Amino acid sequence: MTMTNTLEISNLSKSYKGFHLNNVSFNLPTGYIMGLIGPNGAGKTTIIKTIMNLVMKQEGSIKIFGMDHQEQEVDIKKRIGFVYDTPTFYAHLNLKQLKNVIAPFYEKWNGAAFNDLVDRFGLPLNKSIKKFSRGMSMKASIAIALSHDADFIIMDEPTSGLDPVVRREMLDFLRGIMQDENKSILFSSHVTSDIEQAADYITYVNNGQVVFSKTKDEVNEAYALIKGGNDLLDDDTKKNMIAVRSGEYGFEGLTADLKTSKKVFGDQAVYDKASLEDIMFFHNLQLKNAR
Amino acid sequence: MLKLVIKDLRANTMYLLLLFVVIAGISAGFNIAIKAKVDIEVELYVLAVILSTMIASKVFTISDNESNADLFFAGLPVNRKQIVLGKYLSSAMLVLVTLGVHFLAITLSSNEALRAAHHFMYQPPLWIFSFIILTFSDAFSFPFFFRFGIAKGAIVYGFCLLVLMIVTVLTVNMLNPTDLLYQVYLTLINQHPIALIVELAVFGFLILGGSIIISIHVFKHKDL
Repeated sequence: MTMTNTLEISNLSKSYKGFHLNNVSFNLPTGYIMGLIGPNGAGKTTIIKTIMNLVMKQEGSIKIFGMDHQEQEVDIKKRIGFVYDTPTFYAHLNLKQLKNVIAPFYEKWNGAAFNDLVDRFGLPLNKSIKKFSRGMSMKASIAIALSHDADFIIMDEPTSGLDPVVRREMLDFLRGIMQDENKSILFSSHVTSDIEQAADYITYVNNGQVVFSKTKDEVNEAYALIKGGNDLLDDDTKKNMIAVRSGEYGFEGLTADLKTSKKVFGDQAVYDKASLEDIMFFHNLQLKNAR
Repeated sequence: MLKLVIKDLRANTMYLLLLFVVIAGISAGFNIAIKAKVDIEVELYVLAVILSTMIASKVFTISDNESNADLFFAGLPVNRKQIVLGKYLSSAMLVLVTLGVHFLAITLSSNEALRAAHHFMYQPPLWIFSFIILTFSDAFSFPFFFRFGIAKGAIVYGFCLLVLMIVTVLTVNMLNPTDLLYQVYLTLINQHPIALIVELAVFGFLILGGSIIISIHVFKHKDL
């Protein structure tokens, strides 16, 4: 079976004062969840806003469902459910009124699906949105984004500021959506456990650049933590690691090539699975060392 | 595009109702004041109509700004050109409805004596003329709001209006009755009201067209 891509980004660039999104490229195959991770200010929101044409790209191309995201913006957006990092609504309205404002924009608006999600999330229809908690606002955003049978769901930091219970519910819900293999989800988060729980693909962005974009399995296989005594460290062995931190009791480093590392350090070092948090931490350290 | 206008109406029903109560109050109150038969009150009334209509025309813009609605609606299946055109249409509709409410309120709350004393106030051409002038002023303001946002846009727009007013007053004061410009001015003023309205409408539409083109260009390239 041929794999099609819901999203194709190539050589995307955008500059702001003091920030550059540089040559960003990655693809999201149809039927999968991609987690966009990176520290605060890495460029995740800029990438998502550029995909949505809320921020104008300077170079590169973005294709969604095989169509140019600017030329066929309206057709594309009919099939996208978008959740902002900070829910933006007419806060003086209640959810029912807000639904009445938004529903006419979608030919495929599904009132029953909306009511079902509202029930499932326990949202009040007649309460002013400004009285909603952060979790309720995010759930309301998701209910709206998922009520027109969207094929591609884009969410910017959907779990940010949510308590662990609601966060878990949200992630389970995302996985539930993927029962339909024609749907795809792109969501950003700086909470690595969210990505580890829900994503099939991981794209790691730091300092406006894509560090890697791989399947979760590839990431798990490629990266490892190496721990050992400081006597193992010299300029040659350090080259094998992305970054190293050493202390009184030894060193800890991240490698993206476990096979070679094992040849270099042999049995003298300990090899552990690297979590996404480890990967982010050491890549960030590498960036700091390079400065 | 009509959907954008409908969303404006649905999202701002409460503000609109409040606003129209205030507007109707201004117009109905005028008839109490006019009993004093002082012309300055007519002038004050005209000023109140103009100001209230100018404010009313910006109700949706202010509400959208408060709710960060441009960002939200740009995420829906509409393009930026439609968003801009929707704002112009909503705003022109507000000017029309506001003046309509004024006209109805002043007419319904008047009596024959008042209508005789201030005949021109109750004639539709004055209100049509006002609609054209206010739509023109509105069109002039939009590119500033799209470029600078509501707060900064209002300051830049206000400053430009002030400069325009000063230049106009100085020019008028410096004109002699023998000047060609003065003659042109007299000819324009002394035309048949319908001719003047048609000319203003054509001029207004040209300004409106230019303003829409600039606003679309600005908003299409804006990062939200």
